[in-house]
Amino acid sequence: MLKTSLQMAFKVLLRRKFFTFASLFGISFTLMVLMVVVSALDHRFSPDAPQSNSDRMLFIDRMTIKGPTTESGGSRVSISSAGYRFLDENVRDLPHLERVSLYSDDRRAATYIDGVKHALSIKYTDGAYWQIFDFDFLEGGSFTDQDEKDANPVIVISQKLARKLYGETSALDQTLVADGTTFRVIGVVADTSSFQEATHANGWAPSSTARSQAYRDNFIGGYHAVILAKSSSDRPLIQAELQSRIDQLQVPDEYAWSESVFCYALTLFEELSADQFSDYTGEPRPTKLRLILGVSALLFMLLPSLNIMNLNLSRTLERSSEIGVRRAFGAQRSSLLGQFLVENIVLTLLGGLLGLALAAWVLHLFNTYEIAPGVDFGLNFRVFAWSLALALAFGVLSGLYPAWRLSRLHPVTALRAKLR
Amino acid sequence: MIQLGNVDKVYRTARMETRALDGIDLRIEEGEFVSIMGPSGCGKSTLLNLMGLLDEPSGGSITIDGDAIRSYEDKSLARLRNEKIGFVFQSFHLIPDLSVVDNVEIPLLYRGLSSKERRNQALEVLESVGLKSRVHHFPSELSGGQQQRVAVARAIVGRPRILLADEPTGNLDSQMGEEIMGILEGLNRDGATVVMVTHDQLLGERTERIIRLFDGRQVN
Amino acid sequence: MLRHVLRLAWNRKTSNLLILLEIILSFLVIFSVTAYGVNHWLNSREPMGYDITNVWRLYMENSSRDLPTEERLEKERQLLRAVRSFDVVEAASVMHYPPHAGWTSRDGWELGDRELRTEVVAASPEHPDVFGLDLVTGRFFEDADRHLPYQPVVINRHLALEAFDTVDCIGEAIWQPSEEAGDIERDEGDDREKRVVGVIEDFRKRGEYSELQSILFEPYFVGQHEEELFFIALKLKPDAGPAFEEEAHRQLTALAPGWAFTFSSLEDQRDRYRRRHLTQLLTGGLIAGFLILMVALGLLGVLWQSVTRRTVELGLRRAKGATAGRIRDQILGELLVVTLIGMLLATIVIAQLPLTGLLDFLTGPVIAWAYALSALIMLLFVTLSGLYPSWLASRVQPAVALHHE
Repeated sequence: MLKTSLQMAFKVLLRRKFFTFASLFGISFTLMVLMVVVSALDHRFSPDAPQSNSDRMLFIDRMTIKGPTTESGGSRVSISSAGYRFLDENVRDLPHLERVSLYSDDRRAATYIDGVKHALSIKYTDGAYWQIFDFDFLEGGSFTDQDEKDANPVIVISQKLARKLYGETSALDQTLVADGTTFRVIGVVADTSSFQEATHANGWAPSSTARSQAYRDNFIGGYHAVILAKSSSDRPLIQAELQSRIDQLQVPDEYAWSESVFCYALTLFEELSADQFSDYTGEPRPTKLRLILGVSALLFMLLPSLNIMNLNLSRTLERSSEIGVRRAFGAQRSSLLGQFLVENIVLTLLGGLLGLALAAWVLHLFNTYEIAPGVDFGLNFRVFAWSLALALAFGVLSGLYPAWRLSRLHPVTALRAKLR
Repeated sequence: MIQLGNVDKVYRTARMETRALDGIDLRIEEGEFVSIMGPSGCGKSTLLNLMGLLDEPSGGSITIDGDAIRSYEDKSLARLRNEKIGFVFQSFHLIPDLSVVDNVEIPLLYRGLSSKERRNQALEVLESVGLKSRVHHFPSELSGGQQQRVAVARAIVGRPRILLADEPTGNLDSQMGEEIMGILEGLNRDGATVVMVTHDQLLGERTERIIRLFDGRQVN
Repeated sequence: MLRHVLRLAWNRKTSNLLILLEIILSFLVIFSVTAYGVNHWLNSREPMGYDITNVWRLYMENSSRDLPTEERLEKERQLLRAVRSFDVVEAASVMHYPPHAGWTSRDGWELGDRELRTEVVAASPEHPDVFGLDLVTGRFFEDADRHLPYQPVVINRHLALEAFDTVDCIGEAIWQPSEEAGDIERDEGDDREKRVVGVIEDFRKRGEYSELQSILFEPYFVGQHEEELFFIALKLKPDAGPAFEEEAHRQLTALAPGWAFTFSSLEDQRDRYRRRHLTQLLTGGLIAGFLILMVALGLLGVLWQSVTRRTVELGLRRAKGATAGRIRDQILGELLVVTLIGMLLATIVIAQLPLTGLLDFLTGPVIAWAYALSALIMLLFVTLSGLYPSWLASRVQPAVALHHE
């Protein structure tokens, strides 16, 4: 039955060229836009290198200290990244974790070669960082916890920076002067994406090599943590334990005004939701994010759907004879409903395929013109699966009402319509 | 084969009520060839639609092949139409987007046959109406007579025991009309019960019985 | 004729309903994009109040927060002196925070029965040497101001009008310390009365596309201010190339180890800001454009179908003496009636928008311009999509009606 409906749908589409073109134009464009968005989201949550273990990772990126609310309703609030000392004392020994790495905010710096400035964005971190993230090393290797302990002035740089600084010659063992420190290059990694903040930088050096070591005493500000859990199901346990530690936290004297401290270890999705929708506490709102994404996709599909609906409905009279005949020869309403729906879904899937090709082209343009630095958008199986789901949703959304209307047509009316 | 007991059909709109059929009692035996005649608007087509279970009577009872229709629920009616009844319409009602053979396969489609079986049976029937060479054409590429022969093929492909024809020759010239009439008569000889609505006195007289309607009532 | 067309549209209301919805949505889409664009355009025509030719900003970050305050202040004085001593530097001032830095400081309080909200910028007296000054009345800060018993402030015309309804407000207090905390949020800083010493036209530090808003300048005296020094604004001599950076960077790093220094050209920043906004506009416009094209194709299809379906009716009209032109006008007229009704309904939705307060950029002129523009676009594309079907309809021959029966 389905096979027949499919064949029938193709036959109808081929015979109605303008209708098919007008519909496909709208569908493929709509789905193209959605696919580009899906691809960008997928890129952010991508379980590919360097965050292959993202399903076991938790990130601590934000900390809030809030004072008591005054009579006028205001209160003192400090929002920043977390402090090294806080992370060092409270996160390292959480249960169920395999590894923890602390890494700094991106520190802007510059290095000058022959009077030309090259901007650096350095993350200061430790040896565990390189074990949690699986960077793609093109040359050399990473530094270790021992390098960090010994304050070895070594640096890992990105491929793009290496090219800019040293051209085609090997970057290994070259010196790089940044903010007055002379580093030795020990590794070159493939460029990372600006959509993945934890791994986006163009230089990585041991924390202990930073010019000022004052960060070690900071309770708030300057540092982030990434936690690798033993398994992804351990993550809620870790989150709960961190919460209970924060509840019993002793704040340092300089924050004596504090009433409450907020800090969350979040999955990538939760992190995005906190970024977008959280209040000052930084509490994640994953449900809200899901809802907003869903509703926006629906809203965006609304106008194109109405368009397809109108096109479909405008053919009611043209097709009424067909409906009458099919009913006369034993079609149930439900099978007609199915037929029209399948026709529309075939159309949307075709449009989806076109949209996918368009999206691939647009993403290629994005990559070529570096719309987002370091981001290499691509279509992969996950994006394809999501696109398929979106195309199906679109097909049902735009096809259900016309199909329902057509299938409700009374056979006698349907047969008479053409005579009139 | 077809039995109508005191059947009424009333069309209601917001402003008026039209009585299309009024107390029709009718019995058509298996293997009969019956024609329904009467002036325009006398309810001929309505009567045929009721016999074909396309429409629901406002009152009275209908029995088809021994099955008294009790509920006009979509699913069971669809099955009865599919198995027992074949339709031929004045304006053919072929689906323009489908080829001849696809059009003929439609009744089998709703019977759940495999595509191979459908194709075989459709080709067989098309051969019997002399259209073997046109199976992959589209309706718009055929003459009126050929289109109506496709429609007849479609009506009989499911081997229904009842054939309902609503002015089957109305849109055809007399030679083509004669061709179609010949096919119907042949089918009747092979055992099908045929009910035909017609304007044409000559055609009517060739059938075994004429039911005359006037203003929603049977007059003979 | 009009009444006839209206009646036809009404009789086909069920099939017109979805088309109506489509038109409402399309109009809303066009309106939002044009409003966004018009807002950018109108804002970009307002005076900026400053000039950033050859202006750079130096961002300094002291990662050693453990420095005692006195030492830190001394360091800051040294740094500013060093910066001023560079050959290429024409003038240098402190500015918290400079344009396009992405940092803002906002404040709000009550003045009488008025609630004031403003962006607050701390700037040193040299500020006009770097950015220029579009003064309306009064003066900018002077070094001697540090001895005043009150805190002098310079405000823009927008804030002056909000607070005093006039720009002649020199000497007025815009904020006074009071027991019954009218403040919305002030945790630190000066608790002296703030008195207006100057009114400037504007200082649109959020960029040329930003809305007009209030801005208030407070004086920043280097080596005296509680807040750490983050930004120095530099006016370079016209012949200074970016090459000065390396040397400046080397000297500053030698002077203050543990500090990070980043130079950036405000002109570059502005270009990036422009590019980002124009990219956004272009993307929005392209998407909206494609949506509209899609709707136009859809309408074309729907009308085409409806003309085919109504061949008999149209033939009959021709037979009864309607001219081809009249038939064409009728089909177009029917479409335009539905469009106008759709636009009317969309207008009701649009009229609610300013009430929601969600889109604060929707001011009177923006709405007026955007509305006129989007109505024009809407009517244009609807007419375009109706041209072919109505032409088709006008070609229906009277004989068709008879033939069909």
